[in-house]
Amino acid sequence: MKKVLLTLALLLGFGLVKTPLERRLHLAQTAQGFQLARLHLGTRQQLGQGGFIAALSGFRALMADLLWIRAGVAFEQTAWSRMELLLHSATQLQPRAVLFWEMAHYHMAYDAATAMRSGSNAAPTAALRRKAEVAFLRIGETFLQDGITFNPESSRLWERLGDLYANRLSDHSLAAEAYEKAAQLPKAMTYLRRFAAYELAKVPGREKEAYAKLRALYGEGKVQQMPTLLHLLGQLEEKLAVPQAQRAYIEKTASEGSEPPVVR
Amino acid sequence: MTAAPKHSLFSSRRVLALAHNTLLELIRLKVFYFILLFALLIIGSSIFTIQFSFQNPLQVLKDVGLGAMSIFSWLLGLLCTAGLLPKDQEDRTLYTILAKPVSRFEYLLGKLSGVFLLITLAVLLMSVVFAGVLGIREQQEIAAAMQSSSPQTLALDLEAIRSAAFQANLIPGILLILLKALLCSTLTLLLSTVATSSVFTILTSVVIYLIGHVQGIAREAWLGGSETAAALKVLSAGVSLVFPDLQLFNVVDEIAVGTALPMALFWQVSGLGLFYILVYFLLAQVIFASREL
Amino acid sequence: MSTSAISIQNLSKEFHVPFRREPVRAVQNLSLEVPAGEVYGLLGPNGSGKSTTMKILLGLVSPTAGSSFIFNVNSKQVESRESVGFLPENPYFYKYLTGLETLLFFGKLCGLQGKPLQEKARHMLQTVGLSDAADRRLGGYSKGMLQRIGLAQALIGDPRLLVLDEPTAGVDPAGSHEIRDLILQFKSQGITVLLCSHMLNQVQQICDRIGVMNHGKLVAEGRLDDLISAPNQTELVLENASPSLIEAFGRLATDSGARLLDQRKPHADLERFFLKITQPKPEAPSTPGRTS
Repeated sequence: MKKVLLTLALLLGFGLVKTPLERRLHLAQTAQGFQLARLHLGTRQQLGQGGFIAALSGFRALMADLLWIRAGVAFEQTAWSRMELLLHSATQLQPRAVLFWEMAHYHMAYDAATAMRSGSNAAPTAALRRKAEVAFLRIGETFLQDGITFNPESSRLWERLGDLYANRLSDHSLAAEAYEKAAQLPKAMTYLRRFAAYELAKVPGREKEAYAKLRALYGEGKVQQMPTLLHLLGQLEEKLAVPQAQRAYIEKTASEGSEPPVVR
Repeated sequence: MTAAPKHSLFSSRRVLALAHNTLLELIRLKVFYFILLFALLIIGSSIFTIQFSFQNPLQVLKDVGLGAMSIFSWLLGLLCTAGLLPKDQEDRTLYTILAKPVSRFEYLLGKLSGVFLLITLAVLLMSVVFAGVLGIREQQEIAAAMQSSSPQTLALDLEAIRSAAFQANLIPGILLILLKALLCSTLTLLLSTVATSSVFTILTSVVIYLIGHVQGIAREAWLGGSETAAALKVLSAGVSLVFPDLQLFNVVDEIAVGTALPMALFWQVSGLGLFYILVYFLLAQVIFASREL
Repeated sequence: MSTSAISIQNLSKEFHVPFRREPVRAVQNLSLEVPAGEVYGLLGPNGSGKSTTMKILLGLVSPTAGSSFIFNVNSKQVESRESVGFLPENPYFYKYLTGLETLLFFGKLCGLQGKPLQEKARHMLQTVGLSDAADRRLGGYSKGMLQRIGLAQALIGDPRLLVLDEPTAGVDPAGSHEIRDLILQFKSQGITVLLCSHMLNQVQQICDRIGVMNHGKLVAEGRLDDLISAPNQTELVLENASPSLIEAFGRLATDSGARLLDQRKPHADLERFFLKITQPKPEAPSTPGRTS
C-alpha cells in the first residue's frame, strides 16, 4: 500500500512538472500550424465510433482520406448535402491540407452550385434555383475562408477566393482585396497583382485607384505588360480623361505593336 | 579457490548482454513477424491504390504508410514489452539472472533497451519500404504526367508530384512516431512491474494510449475553461497529471501536407519524450526494486 | 572474521495476503551457519519455508526481520552475488540459445568477456559432459541436459557458493547419478553447496550436514551421522555365514544383554542395480544422445 501511494505521489509530482511543459509545447505547435484538427460530433457521425477512435489515436490523416473517398461517392450520386458534410469533416480532420479546402470549395461553389441551375432535382422556379445556387456558392466561400484561417500563408486559397468573388459572386471589390492579399504571400503567382487591379477597375468609384495600380504595373516592364492590362489601361485613361502627355498606353503600344492576349 | 571479484555498481556490459539477449528473444516471437509482415504488406500494397477521384494517390499512400508505421510500431512495443517480465518470472530465468551480480536496475534497463532496439529496427525497415513504395509510385505519376500534362502545366504538375512524394522533412515526423512508440513501451514496462498478468498490462496500455490522445483536451478543460463544472475540472486535472500527452508526437500528418516542422520544436518535443521515458522508467525501477519475486 | 559461507541470523519473513488479517509467516526466527567448503542440505516439506529462505539469501525477497550474509556480505547487496551460483528448480533458460550461447550470456552477466569467457564456457561444458551438445539449441535438450547446463551456468562465474534447488528433480537415475558426482566434485574443489532436495537418499549420500525446516522454523540440524544413526544399534554384514553361525551370534547377543532386532538378507542398492543394467558396458563406445 505504501509503495502504491509513493508511486502515485511520484506520478502526480511528475504531472505537475510536465503539465506546463506540455501546454507550452502545444501552444508552440499550434502557432506553427500543428494540432489544429478538430474532432466534433459531425466527424463522429461521419466516421462512426471505430473511425472516431482511430482519428483520436493518430489516424486523422487516414480517416480524412476515407471521408474524402466517401465524398467522391456522394459526388457521383450528386448527393450534394451529404457531400458537404463529408467535406466539412474531412477538412476539419486535416485543416493544414490546402488541397482539401480548395477541392471542397470547388465542388460546392462550382459543381453543386451549377447543378442547382437545372436537372431533374432542380427547384421548380428560377428564383428558388438561384437561391439554391447562391447557397452553395456561399458554402464554397465558407470553405475557403475557413481554409485561410488554418492556412493564412496560403496564396492559393486567397487566389481561389478572389476567383470566386470575381467569377461567381460578382463582388469585384472583395475579389480585388483577395487577389491583393494573395499577391503578398509566399509562392504567389505573378499575375495576381494584375488581377487585383483588373477587379478594382470594375468597382464603380474606384477607377482612379485601379488606374494608379495599372500604371505602376505597366512601369515594371514587359513582364506585366499583358494585352488585358494594356487594354484596360487605355480604357481607364479615356474614362478618367488623363491628359495625352501623361498617358502611358497610347504612346508606347502604338510604336511597339500588339502582343498576344493573356491566357489565364 | 579465487577470492570474490570486485563488484561494479553499474556495468554497461551487463546491460548490453541483457539488451542483446532480449532482442534475440523478441525477434523470434511470432507476434513480431506477424505485426511486421502485416505492416509491410499494408505499406507495400498501397502502391496499388487506384486513382481515387479528387485525391492525390501519393497523398493517400503517404497517409496509409505513416498511419501503418504509427500503429504498428506502437503495437509491437506494447505486445513485446507486456510479456517480458511475466515470461522471465514464469520460466524462472528471472531468478537465474538476478542471482548473478546483476542489479534490478540493470536488468530492467537491459530488457527495455532490447525492446527499444527492436522497435527502432522495425521502424527503420518500415521506413525503407515506405520510401521505396512512394518512390516507385512517384515515378509512375511522373511518367503519367509527362504523357498527359500540357507543356504549360507540366512543370507545375511535376512539382506537385515531387512535393507529395517522400521528402526529407518527413524524417523528423517519423522519428517522433518512433519516440512515441518507445514512450508507450516504457509505460507498458511500468505497468508490467505492477500487474500480475500480461492481459491486464495490454488492456491498460491500450486504454492509456487512447486517453493519452485526448489528454490535451482534458488539460485545456482544466487550465483554460472557466465555464467548466468543478467536478469535470477535477477529473480533467487528474487525467492531465497522470497521463502523457501523446498528441504532441503526432506531427507527421501536417508535415505530410507541407507544414514545416522547425528543428527547435522537434528538439523540444523529443526532449519531452525522453523526459517521459526517463521518469516512467525510474518509476518502474522504484516498483520493481522492492517487488517480491 | 567468520569463515561462514552462509550466515543467517534471526531471519523472519511474513507475507501479507489481501483480505486476511493475519500475515502468512513463511520463515520464523531462522538462524543457521554454513561453513565454507561444506555441503549443506536444507530439507523440509512443501511450504516449510525453504524456498523463501533461499530467495532471501539470493536477494530476490526482502526479509521482514533478521539478516543473511554470504561470505560476510549482506545478501541484500548485489555484491554478495559475485560469489554465488544458483540453479533454480526446473529451469527453462532460453530455448533459442545453444548450450554455448547460454553460458556466454550468463558469463557476461558475471563480468567475463572475450577469449577467457569462450574458454571458460567450453571448459564448463566439458565439466558437465555437454561438449557434444554445445551447438545444439536448448529446446532440443533433455531434462538431464537442462539440469547440467543449469549447473554449468551456475558455475561459470567461479562461485564460492552453489545454491541448488532440486538439482535432480525429474532427471533419470543415470543423469541424477552424474549430477550427484558433479556435486561431490565441486565439494572436493572447496565450493560450498547449499542443496534443497526431496531426494532424501541423495541428500544422505552427498551432504555433510542437514537442516530440516517445518512451518518456517528450523526443527532439526546437524551432521547426518549424528541425526540419523541409531546410537545404540550396530549393523554387521556377513558373507557365507552358515545358519549355525548366525544362531551362535544370536545366543551371544542375548547372553551379553543385547538384543538381536533383525536378521535378513541385505538388499542391493536399487540405483546401482538400475545403472548396472542400463549403463553401456565399459568397452562399448558411448554414443552421444539425449539420454547420455
